[in-house]
Amino acid sequence: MRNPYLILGVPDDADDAAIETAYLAGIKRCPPERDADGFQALRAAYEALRTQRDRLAYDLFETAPPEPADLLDRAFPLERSPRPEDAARTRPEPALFAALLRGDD
Amino acid sequence: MPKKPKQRTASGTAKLAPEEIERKSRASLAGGYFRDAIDGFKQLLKLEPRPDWRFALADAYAGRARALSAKGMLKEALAIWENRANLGKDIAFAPEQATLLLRLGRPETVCALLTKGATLPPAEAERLRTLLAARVLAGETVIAERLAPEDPVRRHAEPARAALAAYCAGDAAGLRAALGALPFRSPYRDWVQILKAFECLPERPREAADLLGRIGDDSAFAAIRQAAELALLPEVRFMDAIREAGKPQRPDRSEVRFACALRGWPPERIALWEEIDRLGREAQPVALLRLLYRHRDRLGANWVRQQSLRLLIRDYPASLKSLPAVGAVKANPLEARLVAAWHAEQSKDPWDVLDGWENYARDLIGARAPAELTPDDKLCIAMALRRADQFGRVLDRPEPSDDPDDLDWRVAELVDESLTWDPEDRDITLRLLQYYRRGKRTKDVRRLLDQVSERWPQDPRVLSAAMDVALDAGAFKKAAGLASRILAADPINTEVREHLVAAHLAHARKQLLKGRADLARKTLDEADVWARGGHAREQLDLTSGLIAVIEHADAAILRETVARLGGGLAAQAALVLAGDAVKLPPLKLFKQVILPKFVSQGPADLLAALTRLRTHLDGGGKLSRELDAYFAKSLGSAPWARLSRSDLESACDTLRRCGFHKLRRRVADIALKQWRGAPVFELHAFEAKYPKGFSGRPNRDLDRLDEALGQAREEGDMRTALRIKEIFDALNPFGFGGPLGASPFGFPFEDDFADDDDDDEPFTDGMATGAVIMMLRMVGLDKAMQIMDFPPDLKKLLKRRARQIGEPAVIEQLIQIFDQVHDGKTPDLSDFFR
Repeated sequence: MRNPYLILGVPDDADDAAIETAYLAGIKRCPPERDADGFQALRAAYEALRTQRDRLAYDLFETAPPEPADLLDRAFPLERSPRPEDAARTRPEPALFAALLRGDD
Repeated sequence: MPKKPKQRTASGTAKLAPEEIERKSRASLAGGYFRDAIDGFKQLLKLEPRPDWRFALADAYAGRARALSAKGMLKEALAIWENRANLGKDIAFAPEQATLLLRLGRPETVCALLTKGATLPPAEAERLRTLLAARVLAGETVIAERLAPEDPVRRHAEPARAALAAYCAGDAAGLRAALGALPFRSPYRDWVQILKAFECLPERPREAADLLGRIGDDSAFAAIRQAAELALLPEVRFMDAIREAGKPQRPDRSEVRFACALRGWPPERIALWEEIDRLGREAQPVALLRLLYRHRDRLGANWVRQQSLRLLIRDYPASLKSLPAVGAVKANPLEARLVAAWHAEQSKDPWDVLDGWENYARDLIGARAPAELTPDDKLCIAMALRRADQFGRVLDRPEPSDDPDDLDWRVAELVDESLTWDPEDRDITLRLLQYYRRGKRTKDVRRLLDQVSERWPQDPRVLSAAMDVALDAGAFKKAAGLASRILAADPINTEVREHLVAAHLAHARKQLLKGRADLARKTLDEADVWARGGHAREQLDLTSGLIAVIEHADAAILRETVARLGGGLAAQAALVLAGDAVKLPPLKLFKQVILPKFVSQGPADLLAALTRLRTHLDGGGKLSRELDAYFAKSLGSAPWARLSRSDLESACDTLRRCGFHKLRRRVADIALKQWRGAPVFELHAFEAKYPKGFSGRPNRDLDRLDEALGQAREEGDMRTALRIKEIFDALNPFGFGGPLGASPFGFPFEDDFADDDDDDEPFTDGMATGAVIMMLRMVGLDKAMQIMDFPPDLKKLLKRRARQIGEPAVIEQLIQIFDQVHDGKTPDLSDFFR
């Protein structure tokens, strides 16, 4: 199971309100009709962290080791709503195009 | 080092007729044995330069060249392509040859094909130009210079490169201008589609996918299309896809890097991904630990610590040493307790789980002064104390134990204690209350009911629990008052009505048995107010009819009710069960009522009769012993053989619950005639034949059950396998010296070991006993029980004993028993049963 804090994009000490806000923003980003898997993951994350009791239970009883996606999101989180001025920063560099066109591995 | 076998068929075509050589060569070509095909067609061409053989040889060369390219032998592949080209000018130039020439840094040969005087067909020239265009964009500008000034690859190179620069810089206007300068019939046409698609991202992924779909698989730009399609996958599928990178038929690493970048991953994130990916899917926990600690500044020290503890579970307790080994602070006692509790959950043994979490809770309580415990600490303590119940749903047991050393009793104690730390959990409080009710622990029920009623006075579930408690005590007026309160808040609560009617019925039957038919009738009248469903009404009518029969010998009401029920097996079951509840044996009842004989009305009627039995038991109804014989006779000739397999399984289960052993055995035998050796029916047949448990010498029935166990495991029917294993465990509670003459390890029950013994030294009892004693001394009781796969009952017994007298004393007692067995004496087990 992926880390629900990272799926919702909230800090480890987020409270009920922060979690609900992140969940509602997440639904807008991946509504069920467009991204069923994403929505399901979001819903499961919200259910796992909804109340302080849920969060303590998660911290105490969830034993799954971190998934690669958790490490990536934790170390280098992606912008959930990138600004247009960041467009250049988040695009492949010419060298990556060249490597593909040359057939490099 | 042995040589890898070549992929060739047996040769020996030298002395064959041309027709035979041709047949063999064509077969080799079709089968992918290109080297044999090449040899064969070359041999044929030496005999006669037939064009069809030359074309076949060209095909064989092409196949061989592709195979070499796939292996990365590019130079060798190119040599084969050149051999193919030398077969004649009528052999079409293959674009793959051009691709190889470009990859090997020999663009001049490809460019020469497009310069003046070249005779390449237009379609092939267009494909070559696309190839060259891709290389120009990859930075090989010298290619453009080798082409004529009017060649579109050269002419359009500038705007194509400008478009790339503009896209990478996020310059939308520049990109539009550059793309506008590229005509539709340009060798950069696919490039235009790609950049247009990228401009749709991330807002319009469908539009981007449509544009990318216009690029063919054979395009020189297909690699970018594939990478972009990878990037468009939803998150979960994307992560799965990139984990397969580099494997056959999977994206290569350039594609993955490109796709990640297209999803907005910064280079540092891509680098971290590659580091994680290098560990592989089955990475050892210690390798992951190292990675976590290498990146702890970015990941956060506390988060890394929490995740690290989870990586210690698998190899606990040895894994505790891993933390200092990777440069982390060693686990403190509370952390070690937490890992131990998690590890206990992996064993699936409820006692281990209980001990693990109780130890953790006790340490948490002792870690600080009571006044310093935060609300979160208190909640954690409560949750740890409740974990054993949550893990195994122990408080759901239908028949709670009255032994304080039994698991459910201990779990209930801990859950009860947890309420002092967290009294706000209504669900768990009511669960515990229901558990106490089932165990008839009246004082505990009252105490909990007072607590919940004070805390949640209007809660329908609390009112319902209070009503159940009132009904248990026979306080019908109080129960009716509570039911009214529940129904006022929730008018469609049918469960409350059913409960109330069932309780009134039970009370009425009791009064009838005491000879107070008047009071019984009054109680039924009260129940009538609450009855709504067909089942409740039917029960009231049957009981009313029985009262009339007992009081006035008037059977008219009862006859009318039975007629309304249809007169089949289901009606018979309903009447017999109602009579049994007031201690009227079936035959006496039928004699008094004078009813026509009940006749089976087919499989549906039989299933309905079984449903009545189930409903009766679900409602807490009891069955007298005489009913087994009665139903065995009356239902014995019912159409059981016409029921489906699942219906028969369900029927056997119902009859097991009823304790109708004769009938259950008969039904299981009928099922076994149709599904010979079916494990579930073998189990039912065995249990029904030996209702008090098997005793005596091993016989054919045990052999059949053993075979059924093997088959159940093979079929994956773990429920049946587990039930059969429990029978064997009960036969052989100590894993040795049981009725099957088992070894000290109980191995005869473990099929997995059956084939392993042929080549081994004989495993004598002396060696086994010595090994067991050594294991007990070395690894302790818990681990030894786990390794030797002790039956659950024995584990429980030994753990209880360990709590009473300490683990070392239990180990010594066990060793004494093993010594006695080894010396051929009967072991003295009295200590364990004190």
